[in-house]
Amino acid sequence: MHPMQWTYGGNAPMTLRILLILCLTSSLSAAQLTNGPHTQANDDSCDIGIAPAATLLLPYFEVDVDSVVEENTLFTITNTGGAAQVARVTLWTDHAYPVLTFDIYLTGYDVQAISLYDVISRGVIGGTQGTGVSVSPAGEHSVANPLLDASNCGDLPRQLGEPLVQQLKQALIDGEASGCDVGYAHENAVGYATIDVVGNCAPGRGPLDPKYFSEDIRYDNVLIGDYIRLNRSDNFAQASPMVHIRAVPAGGTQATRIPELPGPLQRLERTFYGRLQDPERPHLDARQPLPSTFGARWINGGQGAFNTTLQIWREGVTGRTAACSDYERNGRIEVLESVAFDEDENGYGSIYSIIPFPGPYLDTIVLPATSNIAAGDDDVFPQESFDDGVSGWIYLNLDDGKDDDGRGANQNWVTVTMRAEGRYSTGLEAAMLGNGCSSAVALTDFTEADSTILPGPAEDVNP
Amino acid sequence: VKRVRILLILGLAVVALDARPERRPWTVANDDSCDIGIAPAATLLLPFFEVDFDSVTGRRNTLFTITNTGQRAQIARVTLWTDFAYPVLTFDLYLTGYDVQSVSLYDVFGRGIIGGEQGTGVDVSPIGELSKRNPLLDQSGCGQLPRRIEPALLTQLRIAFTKGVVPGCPNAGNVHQNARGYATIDVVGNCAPGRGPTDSRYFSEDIRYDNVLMGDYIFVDAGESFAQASPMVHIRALPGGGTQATRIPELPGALPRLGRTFYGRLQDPARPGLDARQPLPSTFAVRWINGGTGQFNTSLQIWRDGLTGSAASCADYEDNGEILVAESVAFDEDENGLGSSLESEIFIPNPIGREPIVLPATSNIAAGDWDVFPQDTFEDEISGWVYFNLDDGKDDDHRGAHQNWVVVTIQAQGLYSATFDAAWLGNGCSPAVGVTDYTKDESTIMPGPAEDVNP
Repeated sequence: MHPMQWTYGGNAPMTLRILLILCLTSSLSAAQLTNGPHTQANDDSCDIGIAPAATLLLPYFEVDVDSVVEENTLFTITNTGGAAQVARVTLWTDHAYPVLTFDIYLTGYDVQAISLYDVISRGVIGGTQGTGVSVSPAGEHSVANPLLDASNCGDLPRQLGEPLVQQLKQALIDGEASGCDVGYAHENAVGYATIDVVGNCAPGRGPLDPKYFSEDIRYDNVLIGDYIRLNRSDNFAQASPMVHIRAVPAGGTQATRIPELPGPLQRLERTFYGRLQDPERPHLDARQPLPSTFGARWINGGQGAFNTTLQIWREGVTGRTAACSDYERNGRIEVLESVAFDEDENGYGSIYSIIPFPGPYLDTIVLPATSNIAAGDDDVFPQESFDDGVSGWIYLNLDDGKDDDGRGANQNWVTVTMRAEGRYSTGLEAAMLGNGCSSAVALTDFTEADSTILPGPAEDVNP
Repeated sequence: VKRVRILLILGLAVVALDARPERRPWTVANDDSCDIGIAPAATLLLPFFEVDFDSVTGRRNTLFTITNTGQRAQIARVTLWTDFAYPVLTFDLYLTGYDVQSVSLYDVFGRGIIGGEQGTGVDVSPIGELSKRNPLLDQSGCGQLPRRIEPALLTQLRIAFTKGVVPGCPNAGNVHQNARGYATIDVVGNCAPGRGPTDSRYFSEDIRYDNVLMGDYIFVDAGESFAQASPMVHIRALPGGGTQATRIPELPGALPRLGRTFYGRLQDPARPGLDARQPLPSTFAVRWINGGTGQFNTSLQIWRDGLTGSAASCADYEDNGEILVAESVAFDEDENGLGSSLESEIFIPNPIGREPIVLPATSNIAAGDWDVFPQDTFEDEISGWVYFNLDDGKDDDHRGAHQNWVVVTIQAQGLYSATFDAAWLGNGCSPAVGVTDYTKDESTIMPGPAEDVNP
């Protein structure tokens, strides 16, 4: 036998044999794929759960600024860690235009509740006492955060000036800012909010500022949050957890985290704030991406006079250097597809679906960055299912069908509100059919007998 | 030589991939982590239900809805458990592809109807034009599934969930005015309505692994005009798909499945982990608000994994009514925390917690209920949050931390009512957490999120 013609287990050189054994042993962990999960760790997957996070998303809010007893949205954030944190809140219009950014200082184990009526109507932020190192009570178990630059956090602004309050109302109600259309006109103030863990107090500096991700943002998965939509005149209230978006991996600062490297060691292929990142450092936010496909139950009419609405958040399409006039695009983000199933499992697709097609709807279906849509609204859900049936579920492929920026599927979130008999009201999240790392899903194709492009859960393994 | 080189290169590539964890998540795949999210699953848990079956209008009722998000038919096996985790009733629902089924538990308890007025089954369930058959399903017993509960069985059902008594076992649950318990819904591969999770064949033959179900539930109090909805707990099979025969068989040593699983306590010790369901967490964070001008009132619906195995005797089920709680710490709005723990002497300040605190397998507890939350915080303050370590502080069965789930209901002014899930602080694969220790300045055993990396 030629000296090099050995086989495994034969007379191979010892170092090579050890190396081979090491490699094969390591391969066992890859083999576990088929048996157990790839990871059992926390903050280590693309799955969105209700777990402490570095970013909270309030996907839709509505506030009647003229009356506290009408529509209002309140949210509460909690720091589940013992070390102090700064939470930076940004209010966005329904065209994903950031209107107001402010900081909330949270001591360890702190809870802060914010009424958006107070913010938008009265200009009060951070409660009547406000927050800050000098004013926030610190519990005996709260400790300082050595990674926090608290130099500007003494007593954070708690009252907005009247001109700013007017600008806020103008943007969120009239959809106007700086002479541009930055939102739709509404009777009430409508938009969404993001809350990020940051490492300093710079209240005016929002996610469009280049320094936001290179200096401000932090990675501690410590925040939990929920929100309540309240309508006192109708005696309706619906609560939901905010969307808990974790930093992966968690912890550290921009300086202490391993620097970006090209090639095979990229971070998440796309991130929640991907569209606002510096192209040179594309994943510095390190936030989990949100999904694009959802399953939402609906029930309309019937003996209970049911009424289902969907609150749909969508990622904007503009980048951080967008001109004021560009934001109009975020008001018309295309919807790839919806398929409405009735209780007899008959499915009707919307405009793009191959079959069955409900009728001559020739316009593209679009939705803004956040909206509250009735299940059965003809402009969005033209399917006959909603007229002929009482209940069922909707498959939503909320990708925009494009990949202009090479970042994969469009990110979205869906919550469901059901009301009945004029006296019951509930809210809950829709189910995500794949996680945010799943590939974009194409239009369903019922023409092929063995088509694999059908409504349903995403494949187990993402590319 | 070439073959060896290729092997070596492949092996080195795997080593290189293994070196990635600091750079990106270990997995970007679906159904591949211990994180619980609202995604199609193989098991749904309704953590607490309550039904007033005496009232014609169903004054208090719980309704749940399950949806098959896949194109192929599925069978969902529903089991109703008492608050001592005693399985009383098991029935099947046949779901065609893309099917939705709603079940009113008032109909079940009050009228003896399961699966709606028409019932479900291969012969009776409407099939949408986009639905397909499931070749992995044994449909031989699925033609027309039972839709009526016999009067004698219905009486037993009511007694089990209100008096805690089942034939031959007087210790199956606590006594309640209304029927109280929890429900599990599993994807299975055949129709065998009476065969529940304590049957030895349930996991070796019946259960399946398709992550296709989504579900929600609504609790309605018609008298108060309150309604609260929440998604059911979506528990995925890892990995998804296949049957017992087609999935990779258990191998000793190097290829362990999940260290513990949702149905771990009911598994055959010779084949642990056969359910392959994600385990649930043990630590939670829950917001509370009581009193004040809004007359707030917070209650918690707490589900806990039972302690008994599949071969438990009647007497054993009493243990599931008194499962120890390792610790709770109630924080007020000024971040002052008061704890209650099994080892209360190490907690500072420590005015409370001398008696062990116990909870049954499912319960609806007021935040501030003295028997469970003895902290003065709830008397003296209006709001804050609670850190819950719902482990039982033991590891008798070596299955790690005890599994739990927590839902929060907040009512106000007698007019408003809302429900949402509490946040879990570590996933179900996280190890048990010790009781907090404030006696050390550098203590790492403190309330808060679990470590990133589980052992």
